[in-house]
Amino acid sequence: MKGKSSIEVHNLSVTYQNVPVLWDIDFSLPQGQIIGIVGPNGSGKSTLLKAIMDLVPISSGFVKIMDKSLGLVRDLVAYVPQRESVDWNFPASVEDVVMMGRYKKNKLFNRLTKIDKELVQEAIAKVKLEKYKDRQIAQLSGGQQQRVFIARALAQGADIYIMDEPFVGVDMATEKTILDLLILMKNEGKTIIIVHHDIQTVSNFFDYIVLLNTRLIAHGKTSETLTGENLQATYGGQLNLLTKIQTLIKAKDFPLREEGFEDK
Amino acid sequence: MKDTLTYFLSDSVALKVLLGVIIIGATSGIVGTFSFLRKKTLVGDAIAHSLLPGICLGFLFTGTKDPIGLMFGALISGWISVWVIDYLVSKTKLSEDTAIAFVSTFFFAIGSVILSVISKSQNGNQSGLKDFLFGKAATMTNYDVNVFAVLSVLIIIMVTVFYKPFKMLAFNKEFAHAIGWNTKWIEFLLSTITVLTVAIGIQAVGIVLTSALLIAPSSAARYWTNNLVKMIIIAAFIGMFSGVIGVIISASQENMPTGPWIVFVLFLITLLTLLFSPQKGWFSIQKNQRENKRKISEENVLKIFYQLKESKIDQVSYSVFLEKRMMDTRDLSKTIQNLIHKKWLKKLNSDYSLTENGAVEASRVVRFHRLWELYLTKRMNFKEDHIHGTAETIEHLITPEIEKELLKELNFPLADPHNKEIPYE
Repeated sequence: MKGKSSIEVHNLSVTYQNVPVLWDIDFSLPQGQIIGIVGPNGSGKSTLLKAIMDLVPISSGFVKIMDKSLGLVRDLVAYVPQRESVDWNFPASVEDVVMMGRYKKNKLFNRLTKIDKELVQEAIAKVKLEKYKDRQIAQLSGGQQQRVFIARALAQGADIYIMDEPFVGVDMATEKTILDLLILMKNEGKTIIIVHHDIQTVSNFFDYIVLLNTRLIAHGKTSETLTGENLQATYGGQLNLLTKIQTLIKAKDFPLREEGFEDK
Repeated sequence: MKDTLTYFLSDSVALKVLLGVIIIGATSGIVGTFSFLRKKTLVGDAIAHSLLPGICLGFLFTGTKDPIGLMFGALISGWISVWVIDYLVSKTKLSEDTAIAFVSTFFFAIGSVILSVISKSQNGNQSGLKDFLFGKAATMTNYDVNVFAVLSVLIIIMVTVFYKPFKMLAFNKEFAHAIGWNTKWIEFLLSTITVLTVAIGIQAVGIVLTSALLIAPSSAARYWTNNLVKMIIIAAFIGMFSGVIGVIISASQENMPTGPWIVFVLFLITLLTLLFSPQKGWFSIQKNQRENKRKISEENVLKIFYQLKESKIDQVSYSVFLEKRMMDTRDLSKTIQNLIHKKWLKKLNSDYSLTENGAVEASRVVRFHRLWELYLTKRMNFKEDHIHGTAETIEHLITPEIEKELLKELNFPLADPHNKEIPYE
């Protein structure tokens, strides 16, 4: 691993409605690569991203981005939520949504400048949606909606891009547009972290992978990590004993960490 | 009607009432747009019911009906109700609608108890607090209207200043949080504004009806535009307009209630919108479907003429046509009239034949049909005896752009899967 890590996750546990969905996840990711977080449905991939982005409360552990806590480096990270997480009937055009990428923490009220607007146009061009920029977002195809979200992240001008299932339900044209864009971004030194569940495409898409199924199975270069054994562990279903413990934790409303215990 | 108008213009009390409902209607329309977009329309109703204990306590503490004291009480109990709903949803297994129903009825019950205590100690209904149940637009004082005006201006300034965060909260709360905004605080601010708006609104239409002021203008406005700023402005105007018309109707007759009339007008506007708005309205949808049907009939008739021409029958009578394809005769004769009108068919004695332009149109339909059949077999692995049905519909739908792509993808084929020639112009 060269240089310092883009994201370091230390002993991270997350519970959802009393059920642990991530158990002591611990890894650090390199910079400037396309990284896949891979696992079956319900394996906690999206939750991991949300925990990294401070969108869900964590039960234990911490996350460092570029060796700092997220609050200090927000502008370095762009988040692309799952497409289904919003109602696309919202009265907004493509341009309106991408413009949101220029909203900044300390500029709640500032009007957007000419430079902001140019960056927005650039982002729209990069995802090839120039023709649709005035279109109401409900009138777009699924793939085009996904590209709108990616354009919004591009407009943020971050160094690390965190994307939740950008390839789900998109057409081939969009898949290619996104892939080309990712490679371009990588060549500019950006780090891209993508939650992905389709095992078929993993080796084509990613330089580096994290295999996840409520616990960390393996992480490393795709060529070294994508082994039959690891895949069996990732996709071979939940561990029986772990499921039993999960049920117990839920039933007894037990905490994941004893009071006063601190992760170091 | 003219009398009513002169009455309003000459009478300063009536003018104040009018001004009051204009302010209330506009504010409710603006703030309601965000409730609507956040899918929290029921919360408005819950807040309205939950304001009663606050208003009563405000009265008990200040001893007057001064709207500032009552507003303050309303604000506090409104806040508490919103907080309790959120708490119940996040910390218990109650769903949001259950929590809302629970909180609104519980708060209203407490309010009713306090209200009856006040009524007893004040010799019956002297306090006039009962007006809050059904509104008291007609008895608004100058002072009331002034207080509402100041609050409304404040609310509108807040919505303008916090437009971006409110928009983000409604569209994508997670993203707002991810860029570092304090979404809890923004939500608190929006709830506060909503509570204040409802508190003003119940003056006009009362606790029971006030959520209509929040819901109806924005749901109607959504049908007229795809732009958020425009939607807010339209909703404000619908709110104002309903208020004015409601007041005028209630003033034109003795003993007519104002609040219910305002709400009636609101729902009339919403109903008319559902029927007549462009694209999404009921009539537009009907018209669109009629046009689809007409297009399908016309293109089908052209296609039959083309197929008959392929088997060397140029002059077609009704009987020849119907032998080739069964069709409702009334529909057929109407369609043929349409096609003659478009100069795609011409009549010769009792026979019909394609004009030159008609032949071009007909070959287009046949080409789309056969291209799509080919696409189904080549790309979607349909069996040859299963492709006709789908192609019958899709042939009417294909646009010139899709045709271009089809031709490119299928490499300008000459024959369809049944080995029939694909006609090019």
